Amino acid sequence: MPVAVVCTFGFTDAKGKSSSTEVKIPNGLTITDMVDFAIGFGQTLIEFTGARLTSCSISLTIDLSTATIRSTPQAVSDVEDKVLVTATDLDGFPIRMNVPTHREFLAIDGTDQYDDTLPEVAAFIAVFESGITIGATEIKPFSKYGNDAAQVDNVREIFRRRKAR
Amino acid sequence: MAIARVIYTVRDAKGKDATTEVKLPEALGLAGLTDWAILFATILNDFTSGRIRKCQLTLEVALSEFTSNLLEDNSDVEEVGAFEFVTADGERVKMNVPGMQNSATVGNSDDLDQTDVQTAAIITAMTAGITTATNSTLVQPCSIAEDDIVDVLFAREVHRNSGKRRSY
Repeated sequence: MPVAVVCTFGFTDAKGKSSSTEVKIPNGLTITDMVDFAIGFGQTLIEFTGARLTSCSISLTIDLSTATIRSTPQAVSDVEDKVLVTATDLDGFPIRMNVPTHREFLAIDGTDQYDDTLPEVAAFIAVFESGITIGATEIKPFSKYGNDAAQVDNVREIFRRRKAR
Repeated sequence: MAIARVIYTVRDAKGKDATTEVKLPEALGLAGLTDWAILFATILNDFTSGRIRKCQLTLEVALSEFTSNLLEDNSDVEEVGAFEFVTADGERVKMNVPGMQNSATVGNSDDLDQTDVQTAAIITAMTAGITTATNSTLVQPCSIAEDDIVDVLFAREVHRNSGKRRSY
């Protein structure tokens, strides 16, 4: 069953307390239509409330049924055993990615460092350094400053408590 | 340049979930972002030992798009405008709007005045939709199962602790 797109509006009041509300809209719209709807609806909420709108986002679920992914976790998998990928963008700003569920055989024996000669690691690094081809264009991940990733500096195993990254 | 976030939820052998995210240019468009996310999921799968169980795309809307977004001195997000709507299939959808103004109620009751311009605008947006500015597309709010909302059942003031409000 398709799951509706969720528009979330965050508000902050005069005491600094925050709260949010959501409205759902159907899938199948363009980004322009979804954003235009969120702007129109958010403006309606602004007129209704005395609080200030402090965030507005749109979330949709991507169907991964055509991706080649395992259907069950491997027996040794642990989301607190992670891979920290550190990269830099074109301006040298850092990009950090914490990837849950480390694979032991991808690390160099006796170290936390990942072996970038292994195809699984090389493929991951290539996404940041060369991008994924969409149409005729190589699309690389962005930094939070909106710059393309340029190079991966380090890939290693770390331990972190479970939470949203 | 606007940034889209692709968030993957990974589950381990003990059933615990954690997320990781990648930022991408929103200008790639929905089809491009979706294709990228699916291709990256396969690479991520080979790189990890968990199961990728969910992938979510999040777009941020710039606050500069909104006008008259002002904070009133007595505003309180715990004063909530509680709306309940119904879909074409009879499913109920709740929406709690934080920070409602006391002047929106009828007399001494908790009922919101549905003829009030601001309240009526919310009800109309939920039951009749909004026509988008750029493409003139009618976008109709719906339930989680994508059934169109068609009517309002009630609208009233309630008090709730601050926190995330959801529609159902």
